[in-house]
Amino acid sequence: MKFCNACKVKIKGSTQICPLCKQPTVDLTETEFAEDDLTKNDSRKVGTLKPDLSKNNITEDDGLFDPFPIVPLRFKQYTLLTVLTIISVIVYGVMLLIYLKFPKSGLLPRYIFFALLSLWLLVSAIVRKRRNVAKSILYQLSILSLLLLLLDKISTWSGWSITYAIPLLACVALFAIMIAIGFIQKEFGDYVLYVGAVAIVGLIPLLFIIFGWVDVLWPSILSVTLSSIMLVLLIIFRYSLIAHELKKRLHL
Amino acid sequence: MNRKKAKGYQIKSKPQKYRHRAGSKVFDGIKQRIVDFFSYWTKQQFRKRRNWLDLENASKLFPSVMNSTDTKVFRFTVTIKDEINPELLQMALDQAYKHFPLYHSVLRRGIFWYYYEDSDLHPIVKKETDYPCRSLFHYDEKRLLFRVLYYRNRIHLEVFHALSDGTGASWFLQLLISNYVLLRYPEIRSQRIELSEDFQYPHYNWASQLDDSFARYFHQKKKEGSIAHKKIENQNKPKKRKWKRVHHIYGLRTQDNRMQIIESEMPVKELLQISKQRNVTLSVFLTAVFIESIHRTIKKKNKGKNKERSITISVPVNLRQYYPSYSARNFFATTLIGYTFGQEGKTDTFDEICACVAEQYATETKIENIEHKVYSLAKLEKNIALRAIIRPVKDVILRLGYSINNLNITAALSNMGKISFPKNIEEYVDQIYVYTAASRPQFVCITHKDVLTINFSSPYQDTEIQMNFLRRLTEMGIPVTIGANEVNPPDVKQQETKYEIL
Repeated sequence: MKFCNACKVKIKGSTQICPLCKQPTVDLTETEFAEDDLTKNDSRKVGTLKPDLSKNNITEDDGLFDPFPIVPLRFKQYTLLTVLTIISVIVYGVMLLIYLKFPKSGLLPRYIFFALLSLWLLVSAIVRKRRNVAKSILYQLSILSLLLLLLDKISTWSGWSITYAIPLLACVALFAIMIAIGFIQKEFGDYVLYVGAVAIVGLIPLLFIIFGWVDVLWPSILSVTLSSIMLVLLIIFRYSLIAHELKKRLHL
Repeated sequence: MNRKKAKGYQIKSKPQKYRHRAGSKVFDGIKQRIVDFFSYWTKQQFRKRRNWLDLENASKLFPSVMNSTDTKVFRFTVTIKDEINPELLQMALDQAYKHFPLYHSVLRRGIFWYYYEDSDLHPIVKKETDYPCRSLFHYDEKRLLFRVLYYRNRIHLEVFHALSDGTGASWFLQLLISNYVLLRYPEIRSQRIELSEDFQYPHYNWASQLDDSFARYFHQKKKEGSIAHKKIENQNKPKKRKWKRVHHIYGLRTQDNRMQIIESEMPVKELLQISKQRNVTLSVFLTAVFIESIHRTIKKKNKGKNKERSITISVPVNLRQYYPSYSARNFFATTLIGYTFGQEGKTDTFDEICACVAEQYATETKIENIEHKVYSLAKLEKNIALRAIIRPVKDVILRLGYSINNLNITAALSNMGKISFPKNIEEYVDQIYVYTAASRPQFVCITHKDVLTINFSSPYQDTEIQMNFLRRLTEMGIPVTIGANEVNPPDVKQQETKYEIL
């Protein structure tokens, strides 16, 4: 137990400075204040007051211990964020310089921009959604589909993204989500809506067929078929679970 | 021949046996995995439909406005006679946990609102190694919204405010500590234990614990029949006091955003005597001292500026005292008590502050005024336009509203009143401290036996307000003992958090 002469308070623990006024503290025994105390309680000896660790009952010496453990400082390290930023800035700068120097080399700034955009979006989706695999797959499916569409757009549009890439990606995502969930073995209620959402994304190629945007039909048909089978199975076998989850998450 | 045979047998069999064993292990593992994979889709246990519960009016705010500094976590600390036995504490926790279904819930995000979901999680007591009131909620993880820690002879109960308020949590604490003391000191088990009112049946009735008392008492349709409605009709609507130039406390934050905690304990009798001499209640007295000590701190910094300046203190009011409720969830409202310095014709003495605060306590904590405020909040919650906004946008709006509201607040305090345990258990319980994570200097006080503890928490390194407050009390001759946590630990190895990214 320490004492602060300026604040006139007893201080628990062995702190050398008063937590209130930041002035040096004195041992309680050296002050008048403490002497009153000592006359009352003979068990404490004048002079050095050290916590007696051997004693089981510690209430008497309670004031001698620090009330809180000393916790080392912690600093947040935004490692990944910093690394990503540095890489992005350097890559973009270098590529831009190369492009300005050799305009015909074909490295258009929009491709570099696209590459960095994909890097950022995918990494942040993976990191932020790492705790829920189904959510992560849904996010990556959506982001990748949009990115591929964009890539098709900024290069000369030939429609490969909607003909092959997006429908096949949707099929892969559907398998991936089912396999992941089956092996993780956690409650299906946490995932069922994401499975449904992935299946609904897989139905989008139906629009491509209807509006005649694609010439090669089999990837879209495959995706739509698989997704609709999935949805029908979900609705037949897990209707009550889906209804429960929807009600829970959508309540106003 | 035999040898050859034996040799041949050995040579042939050993690797075979070995291969067979290793192969079967791997093969069995894969087989088991595949069987598990297919049985997953048929097993009933993975199809559990978990119960869920809507957050009540006051807790809707907390998950949206919490951040890494102001985590909205509060902590009860109980000191027991001897060093804590973690195994017995775990047993005590298991027993208490059974009786509080609310504490089983985890907080989850929906499209429009957060909600509690029932869980099978099991709380585990841990040794305190971290700083107080660390965050208890993560948006993508199912975590319990409370934790129990121990350190030497201290037991800590930390609770996320979205789950419960101080009164609700104190019931859980009382049961936990009583269980622990009964387990730790078997000699009192043979004695007759007289249970006080706090240990009566309604506290442990599941339905009353989970009751949403805001919805029960502040439903719009019920307004006509409410206690205060007729009075409000007759009189004019209660005037909202406008505070001029409300002072805000800023300062240097602690290095890693940890809370600066200062616990102080003092005999309550002497404080009561002093406040009785001034003819005010203890709450009024402490509020006045707090306002005065904040003012002293500002005066030092703004020398020569003699403009009007208000200091306002946000004070929570337990609504259970007006409406019968045994809900363990939040059921409180806040009110604002303040004083304007530098007004004409006033000298700003302590007595003047006391009188002004006393008058406000008399009017502001009247049920009419509080009811009016809670009704308007309930009305806001029921607003269909606001309800239909998706949660991420709602979070931003609530955060904005919260910070606008905070412009009116200088600091906060909370008087938890008195806490007690059954008579025989009381002997083994020494002291109780309560404090909360705060975005500005704040204190919570609680009385146990004859000792009042006033516990300051602040995100700033500066302790001048706390110093002024406690010096003011020691000047009046009250013996004060303090304890503080270390916000600038001396040459300890710096530690990094694992993956705090994005």
